[in-house]
Amino acid sequence: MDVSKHTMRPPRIPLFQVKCTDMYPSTLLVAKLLWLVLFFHGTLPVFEVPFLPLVRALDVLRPNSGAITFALQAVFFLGGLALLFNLRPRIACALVGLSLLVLLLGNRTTYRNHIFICACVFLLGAMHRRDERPWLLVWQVAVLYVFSGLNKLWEPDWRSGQFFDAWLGSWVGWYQWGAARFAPGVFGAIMAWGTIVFEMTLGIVFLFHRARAVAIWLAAGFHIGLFVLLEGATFGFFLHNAMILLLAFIPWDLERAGLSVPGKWAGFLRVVLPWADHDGHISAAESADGVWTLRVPGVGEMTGLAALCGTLNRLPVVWIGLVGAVLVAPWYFPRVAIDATLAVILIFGWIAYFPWSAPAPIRQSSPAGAA
Amino acid sequence: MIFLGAQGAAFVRAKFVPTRYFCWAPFDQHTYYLISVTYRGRELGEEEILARYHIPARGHNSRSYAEILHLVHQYERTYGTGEGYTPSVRYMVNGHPERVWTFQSTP
Repeated sequence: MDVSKHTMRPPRIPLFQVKCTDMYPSTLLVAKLLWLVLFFHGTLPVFEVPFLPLVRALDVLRPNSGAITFALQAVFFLGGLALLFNLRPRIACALVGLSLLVLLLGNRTTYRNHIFICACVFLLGAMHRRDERPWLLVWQVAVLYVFSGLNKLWEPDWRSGQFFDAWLGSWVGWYQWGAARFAPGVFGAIMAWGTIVFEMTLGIVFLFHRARAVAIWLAAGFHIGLFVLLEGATFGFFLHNAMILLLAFIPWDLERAGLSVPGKWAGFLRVVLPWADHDGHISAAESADGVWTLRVPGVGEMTGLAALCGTLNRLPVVWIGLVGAVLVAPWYFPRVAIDATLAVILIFGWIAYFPWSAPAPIRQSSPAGAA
Repeated sequence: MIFLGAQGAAFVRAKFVPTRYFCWAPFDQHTYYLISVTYRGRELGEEEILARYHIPARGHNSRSYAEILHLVHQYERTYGTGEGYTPSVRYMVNGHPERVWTFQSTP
């Protein structure tokens, strides 16, 4: 029995659609999520250009700074809305990226790496067509991590470990515990060199398609690890950006996925799936063998928990909900903000990366639920 | 790829200049700074300094100490030129002894 045929279809909301545009679906999803992070972290009021620009020539605009600022805010805001609701998303994406780039070049006081990475993703993501995997973003991530490692390698205080002693030695308990077990400076040097080697290796591994699943897990673990070990540090909102950016590399199948579910879940899906799957991406049917199975053409077949995560993985409403939870959690749960944020991020990471690294070849003898 | 190449150029440039913009150098240095400004014998308050430079009078920078110094220098050389304000910045990089930088206006 095809579950999806017995449902009343709710209206398709463009906010929760990523497959019906000229933009690669995962890139569009990433762009939407990043814009939400930027907006809810108060980026709009930050626009104030030019003020002590990095490009001195922009100072000629200073007499009209009010108009320039308003124009950039309008481009960022309206471009973001267009992106969210799939109105010329590639153009909107490029415009949002340009507004952020002008912000960074036009105001020395607002330069932040977590804003710069967003500008890069918007600009590079806009260059990819719907049928083109985001290879520019692969290179961007590689550049980010390799350059981060190389820059640290160039710093004498990183090579000696002095940076870590100065940064963490006075307030992080586990660091103080570790440092006490070595001669002065040794633990800091171990941490520093470990970070340098890890970042550079991660960036290089990202470039290899076959190793990308490993790289994604390593990157996610790295950023979540920093969040835990540094007592909730998000580095502005770089943590959010990094986790979201990794979604761009999950192969987003353009064909429909086929989901088979045990009978007792069929009724539940009949009600819920139409409200969650605004792309019409998943066709669901009752499973003949009582096993959750997700068949994704060109990717593989997943069963059990992987199938459930793979299904959630392909629903933009889930991502927007999770990102919204991460953004909102600290407001309503200030006492447990770190724990709540971590819990959501871990759920986010599990749903994102587990099924993608687990698919098996599609079995030839099970047509039930196939697209 | 031009955009990525520009980041490569910024990375190379960062090897010759003390600032760290657009080259992916997060947490290369940990700098604590304190900006003081005197004007006609009076020291400006922290809110006045914030209003002038759009950064807190005391804080930290996680990329390079030079970005604070260059920011103050650029302001005094452009928007604040000839006003007679004398800023100085006390800063400590990665736990090393504190250093002091004072803006020198040319006559």
